[in-house]
Amino acid sequence: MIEARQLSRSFRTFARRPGVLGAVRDLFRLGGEERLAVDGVDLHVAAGEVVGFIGPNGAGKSTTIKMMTGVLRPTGGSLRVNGLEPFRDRRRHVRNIGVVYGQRTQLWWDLAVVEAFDLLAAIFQVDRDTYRRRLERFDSVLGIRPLLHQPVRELSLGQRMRCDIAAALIHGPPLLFLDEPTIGLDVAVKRRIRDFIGLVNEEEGTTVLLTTHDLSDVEAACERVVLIDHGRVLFDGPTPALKDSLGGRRRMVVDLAREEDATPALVEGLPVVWEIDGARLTLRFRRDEVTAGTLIGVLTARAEVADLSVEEPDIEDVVARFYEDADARRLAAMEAR
Amino acid sequence: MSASSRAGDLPASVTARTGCRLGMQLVLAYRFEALVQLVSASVVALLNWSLWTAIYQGRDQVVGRSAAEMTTYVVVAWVITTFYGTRVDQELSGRFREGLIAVDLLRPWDLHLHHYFRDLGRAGTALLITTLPLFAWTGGLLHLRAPRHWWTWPVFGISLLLAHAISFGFAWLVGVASFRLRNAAGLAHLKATVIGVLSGSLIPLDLYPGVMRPIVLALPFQGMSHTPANIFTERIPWDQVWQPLGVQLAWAVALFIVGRRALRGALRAVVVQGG
Amino acid sequence: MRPSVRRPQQQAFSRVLPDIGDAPLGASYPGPPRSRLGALWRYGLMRAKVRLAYRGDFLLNAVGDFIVAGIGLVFLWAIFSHVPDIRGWSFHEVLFIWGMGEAAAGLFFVLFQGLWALNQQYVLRGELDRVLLRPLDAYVQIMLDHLNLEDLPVALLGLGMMAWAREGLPSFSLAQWLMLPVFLACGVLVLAGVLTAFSSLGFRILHRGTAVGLVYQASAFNRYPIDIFSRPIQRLLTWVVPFAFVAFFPATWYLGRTRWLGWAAVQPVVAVAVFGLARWLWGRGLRHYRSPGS
Repeated sequence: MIEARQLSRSFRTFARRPGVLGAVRDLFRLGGEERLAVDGVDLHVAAGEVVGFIGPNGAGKSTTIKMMTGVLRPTGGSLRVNGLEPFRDRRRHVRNIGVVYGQRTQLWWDLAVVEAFDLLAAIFQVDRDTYRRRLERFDSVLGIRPLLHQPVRELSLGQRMRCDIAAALIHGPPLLFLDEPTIGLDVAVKRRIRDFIGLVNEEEGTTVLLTTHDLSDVEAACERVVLIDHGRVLFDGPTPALKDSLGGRRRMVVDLAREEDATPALVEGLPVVWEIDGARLTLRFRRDEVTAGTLIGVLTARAEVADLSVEEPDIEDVVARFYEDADARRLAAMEAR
Repeated sequence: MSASSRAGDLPASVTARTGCRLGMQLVLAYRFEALVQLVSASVVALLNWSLWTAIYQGRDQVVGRSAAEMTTYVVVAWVITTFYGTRVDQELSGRFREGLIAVDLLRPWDLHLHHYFRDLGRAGTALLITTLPLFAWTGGLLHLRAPRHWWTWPVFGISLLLAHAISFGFAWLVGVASFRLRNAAGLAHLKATVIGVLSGSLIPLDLYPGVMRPIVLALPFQGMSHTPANIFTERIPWDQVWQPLGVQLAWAVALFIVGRRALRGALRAVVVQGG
Repeated sequence: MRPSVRRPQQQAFSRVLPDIGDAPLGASYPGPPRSRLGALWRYGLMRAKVRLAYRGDFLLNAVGDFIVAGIGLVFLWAIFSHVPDIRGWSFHEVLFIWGMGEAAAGLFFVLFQGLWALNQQYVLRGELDRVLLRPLDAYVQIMLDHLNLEDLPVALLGLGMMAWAREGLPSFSLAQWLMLPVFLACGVLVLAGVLTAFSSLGFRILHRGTAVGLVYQASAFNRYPIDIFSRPIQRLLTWVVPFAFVAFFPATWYLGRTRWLGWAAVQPVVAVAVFGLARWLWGRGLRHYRSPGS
């Protein structure tokens, strides 16, 4: 459904010269420096997938999405969505996609919601029965009926987001882009929107591409996740594998029957980070280095184990640590310059 | 919240400094715009000059003005619009529309004064990079008549400053008025064109026929282009020059006071959108 | 609000709402338009409805713009109350050219006001994103967004001025009557073309203001006979920013002046070419759109 090969987009930036004199000199300079916002992204999304797109601020997520929706023109590589080139075949392309921006509404501020829906249906040439059926469906899941006669500008963020999602799907597109759809929303609306994404995907087979900062969105709704930074894809695979790939460590807590067994000798030779507190032993280990089974086997052979639990790494933690590292890398790069 | 000073506000001198600096930076940040303005103000000044040169063909005097005086008037009157022309009305209505005016009111300075100084900074920078270059080339190529007396220059300078204060005062009122309107752009457009016609930036106001003349001369807009350009062309004798300056000052002060009250009233009457 | 077991969650989300009862969802939708033109028509109708709904704004704009256009007439009158002619052009002749320019400008403002909003609203604030996500032409959508019926009276004022000017002009032939709407429409296209070309600069060079308003200033000079200007300016108004085609060239035919007949004859061709070129430039500019926040 989406085929991106070495997709790139650069922006021209104007570094301003300092001081009044510099500014006056800048007045007569029209050039600038090219900055790559998206740098050779390869991505293939099959029909029916729900893909989460994550990355720190300024990583190039939005730019990528905007190229896929036909808003921005790529400056390099190739991109085909439903067999069309989004920017060049924009008018045909947008009939196949629905787009929701969390930060900005796609509706008209000064129209009532129902007027906006009617107009969109007319623009996309949706026939009456289909339109009604869809509105009924949206209402049953998103509860939009009481909002229909309100002007868009008076909606709260949560209400607006529900209307925006409905509006994006009014023409029944096979592909849905959601750019930060849950930003600033409360837990109840968030859940409702996630449920709706799942439902649309299941019932209509709609392909969904979702960018977000909220990893619980990704864990709840996406079976596949793409991590992007500095305009490059750093990870692309099933959501659970993300943690391992980013160096997430599982945690095993072992309570020993006898405190005197709790010595460093117990974990000797094992690829783990360990910590001893009384009779409690806490181990951190990576899935690809050692399995929980092996560890349990070794430990029970060396001492008597009273109780034991294994925790998966917390995705929020792992990704937060990755973002911090990304910031540090960026700072270092700036200082080097 | 009110527009008047509150305890904890920065002293006026600091407001002035920070405001001016911000205004300067804004002009420099949008320097391409300054270039566009330079080019396009040149075009209009040139076309105005041509029109009047054509009208004077075969004539010495029109309403007591020589060709040299008239062409000097129309060029100067237009060139100085690049100095006093402000966008504070659009800035204000934009901040309001986006619900950011509430944020602005939380800043530790007087909003009205801050904007005045900010626009003064804008005007000062525009003077350097737009207005003076315009003066330079039009003065050289269009054979404008330079003032004969040295004192005309400082008096012209003061008059310009007051012209800016009037322009700001009016634009401020327009900006505040737009709080109650949906479509501030229409109002801004109306304001720009009204100023274009009633300020004397295209034609000396005493050329307006009959009943219109006393009306346009009684309005504050005449203090924007008409007065400074007449001072520059030395239409007003030395011992009477305090009169138009006094009128300018009176309008500037009046608009300033009304502007403060209007802001207070508007904020009380209107629920801040998005707030 | 209607109590409902099926949708208890609505209580939490909605404020006090008008009771819309059991009206079926989508009842207000008249069905799909037959063509893309139909969709555009409905789009324009909706925008016009919104503008009309704010009666205060509408009247303010309509009256304001009318006064502004009328003051232009006073300006002309002011000049001619002191001189009988400008380089041999009488008051009625200038009035006719002026009226034609005003009529074209009025129609131009009805249809193309969106050009003014392009930089600030669409490019810098990114509303162009929304426009680009609809299967309609982006340029047309922007113009329809800002459909400005308020300026119809200005166009009428222009026609009024032309009518007034006729008392001092030779009478028109049938061909001249028939061509009048064509010249007017093409005059609008010339204005739109020139300003569209300049507005497309806004995609490349980000600035909050717009060259459009300032270039429009120069179009005020299409209301004078161009031979009162110096040679370079005449060339500028003919070849660079061809505002002389908006009103002056076609008007001379009606004034019985033959010197510019050839220019008047090619006006429709020039108009279509200028507008076509401008739309092409605009489309090229769109490639440089950089959508804020990306």
